[in-house]
Amino acid sequence: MIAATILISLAFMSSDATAVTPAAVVPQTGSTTQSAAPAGSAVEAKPAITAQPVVPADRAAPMTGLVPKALINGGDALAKSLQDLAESGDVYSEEFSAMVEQFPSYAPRPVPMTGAMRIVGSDTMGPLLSNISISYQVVYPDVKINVDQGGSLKGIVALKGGRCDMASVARDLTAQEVTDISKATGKQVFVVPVARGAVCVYVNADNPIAGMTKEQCNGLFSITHSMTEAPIMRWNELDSTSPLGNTFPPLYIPRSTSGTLQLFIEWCMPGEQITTIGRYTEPGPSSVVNACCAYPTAVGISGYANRQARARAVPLSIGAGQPFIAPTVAAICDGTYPLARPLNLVFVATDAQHIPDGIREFLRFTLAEDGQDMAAMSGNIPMDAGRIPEFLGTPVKGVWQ
Amino acid sequence: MMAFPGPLVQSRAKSCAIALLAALLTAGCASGSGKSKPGEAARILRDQRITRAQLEEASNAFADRYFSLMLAASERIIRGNNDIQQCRIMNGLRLLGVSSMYDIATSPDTVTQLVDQLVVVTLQNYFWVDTGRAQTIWGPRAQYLVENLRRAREDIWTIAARVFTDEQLEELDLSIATWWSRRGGTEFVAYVRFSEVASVKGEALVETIRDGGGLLEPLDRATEQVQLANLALDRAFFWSKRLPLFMNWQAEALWYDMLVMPDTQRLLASVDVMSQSIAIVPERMKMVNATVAGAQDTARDLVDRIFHRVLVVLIVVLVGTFVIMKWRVSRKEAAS
Repeated sequence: MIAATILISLAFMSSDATAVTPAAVVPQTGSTTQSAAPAGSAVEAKPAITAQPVVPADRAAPMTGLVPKALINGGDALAKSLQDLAESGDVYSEEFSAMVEQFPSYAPRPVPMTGAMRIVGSDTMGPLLSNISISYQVVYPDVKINVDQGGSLKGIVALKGGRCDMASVARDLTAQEVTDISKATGKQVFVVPVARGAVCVYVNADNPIAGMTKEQCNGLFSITHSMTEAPIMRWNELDSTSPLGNTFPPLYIPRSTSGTLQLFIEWCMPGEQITTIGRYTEPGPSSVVNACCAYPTAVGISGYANRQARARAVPLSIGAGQPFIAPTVAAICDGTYPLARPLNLVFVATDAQHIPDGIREFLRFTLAEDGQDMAAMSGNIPMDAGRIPEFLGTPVKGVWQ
Repeated sequence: MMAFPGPLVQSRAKSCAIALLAALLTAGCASGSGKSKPGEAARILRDQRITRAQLEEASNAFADRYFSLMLAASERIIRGNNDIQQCRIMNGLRLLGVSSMYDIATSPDTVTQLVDQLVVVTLQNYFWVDTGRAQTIWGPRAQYLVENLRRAREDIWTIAARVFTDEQLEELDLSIATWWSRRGGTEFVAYVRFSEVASVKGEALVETIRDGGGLLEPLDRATEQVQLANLALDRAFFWSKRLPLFMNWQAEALWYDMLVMPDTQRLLASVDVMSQSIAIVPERMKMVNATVAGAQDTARDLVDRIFHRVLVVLIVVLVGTFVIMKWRVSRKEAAS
C-alpha cells in the first residue's frame, strides 16, 4: 500500500505540474468545493481508483507480462498436469489387478530353498525376470539367481549347450528348436508361459498414421521387399496424408538375436533380410522406443512391455483391406492382434516327475500372485490362470505349498 | 676362377628350393585355412583396446558435448519465453545435468565415470523423453531438448561399446531398466549413480573391466600411481576451466527460485496491480485537468462578478459622494 502510494506520488510528480497536487486525485464530481480538500488525502483516495475498472480486461493482460498468469493464479496447473501424466503412464491397470487375483498365493517352503540358478535369453523379459528374482531372493535369501539378456536365440543356444538352467524366450519355440534342444541335452523340453506380450511397431506419439499393413511392414523393413513393388522410403508412401510428407522414416530395431525381431520377420518378411538403409540397431528394447519418443519420423520394433507415453504402438492388419488391430490387452489376450506372443521360460528335465526343485519352486513363485504382480508391473500382461502347467502341482486352498 | 664342387652347389640349390617350397606351402596353407599366426588374435584385441587416457578423454569430451547439447536446447526453451516456471525448470535441468556430468567427469575412477554418465543420460531419457514430461512442461519448445537428450544417449552408448563387450552392455542395460521399473518416479535422475542402480553383479562388472576383462586396457601396476596422479591433475584443470561456463546458470537458478517463492509472487502481484494503477493515472490526470480548468473558469467568473460588483459599488459610491458633495455645496451657497 505504501509502495503504491509512493509510486502514484512519483507518477504525479512527473506529470504536468499545473495539475499535480495529491488532493487533485480525490474529486469524482468536479465540484469546486472538493477541490479544496487538504493535501495528504491520497491514501484515502486510492480505493476509489482501483474500484473503478478503467483499464479494459484485454488491455490488462499484457500488463501481466512481468508476472505470468500461471505463477499468480494458475501455479498449480503445471503440477496437476504432471501428476495426470504420471498417472496416465502407470502401466498397472485395474484390468491387470483382476487377472493377478486369479492366481494362487505363494507360501514359502518350511525348509528354505538354497542354490544358484542362471536364466539367459530375452531382452524383453529381462526386467520382468530381474524383478521376480529380486522378490524371490527376499523369500529365499540363500538362492542366487543370475539373469542375463541378449535375445531369445541366445537363451536357446545356452540351454542347448547346458550353460543355463532356464532360457527366457519371448516367442513360441519352433518344432525344430525343441527337437534340437532335446537332442543336444538328451532330455525332454518344457515350455512354461509366464506372461503375455506382443511385438509392436512404434512411431512417435504425434505421428497420426492410422495403421500399417503386413505388406507395408515388408516394404519398409525388408531389403528384398517381396510383398511390394518398390521399397517404402518415405512417410507419404505409407500414408498419403501424412504430415511428415516425403521425409525418410529411420528404422530402429533390436539385435538380430532378439525374439521380438525374429517374430516380426517371421510375420511380415519370412526368409528375408532387414534392410540396411537408415537402419539402426539399438543396444536394448527400451532404447528402440526411446528413439521413437524422441524423433518425430522414427519407426521402431520393440515389445509391448516397453511402451511409453511419447511412443505409439501402431495398429496392424494382416493384409490390405483387412481391419487394423491395435495392441490392446483384450486383443493380445484373445490373439486377434497379429503379433501377440507368450513370454516363456524353457528348461529341460528327464520327465515331469524329475523337474529340479529349484526350477519348480521358482516357476510356482512366478505363477503366483507375487510373480504375476511383477509381470504386470514390468509392463507385461499377466498369464491366463487357467494355463498353469499340471507338473507344477495343484495349489491347496489357493496357495502354492 | 674358383670352381665350387658340383654336388655341394646342387645340394645347396636343392635345399634352397625345398625351403622356398616349404615356405610357400606354409604360407598357402595359412592363407587357405584362414587361420592367423599365433598371437594374431591377441594383437588385434590389444590394438582394439582403449587405454585409460583415451577413455578419460572420451569421457571429458562427452561431458563437453553434453554441455553444448543442453545449452543449445535450453536456449531454445528460455529465449523469449515469458513463462518463469518453464524457464526455471529448464534452467534447473541444465544446471543439474551439466554440473552432474562434470562432477562425474572429474571423479577419481575412469570406468566409474563412464558407467555413471551412461546411467544418468539413460535415466534422463526415461524421465524426460519417454514419459512425455518434457512436452507437458514446455510444449512444442521441448522438441529440441528431447532430441538432444536422445543424441546424448546415443553418444554415451557408443563410447561404452568401446569399453564393454556386448554381453557386458546387455548387463548394464538390464540393470538400468530393472532399476527404473522399480523406481520410475525418481525425479533427481541427474544425481543417480551406477552404484545405486547396479546390484552386486553390476559392481563386479566394473571390477572386471578395471582388471582388463572388457575392452579397456588393464593398468600397468608399475606405472599405475604415476598415471593416476597425472589423470587427477588433468581433472583439476578440466574442472576449473569449465566452472565459469555454468556459474551464471547458478545465479539464474537463484533468480528464478526467488521469482517463484510465494512472497515474491505476492509482491509481484502487488507490483502488477500497481502497474495497472499507474496505467490509469494519465486518464485520471485528464479528468483532474478538466476539473481544475473548470474550477479556474468558475473562479474567473467569480472574480469577474466580484469585480463587476465592486465596480458598480465604486461607481455608486463615487456617484453618491459626488451627489452628496454637490448637495452640501448648494446648501452652503444658499446659507451664505
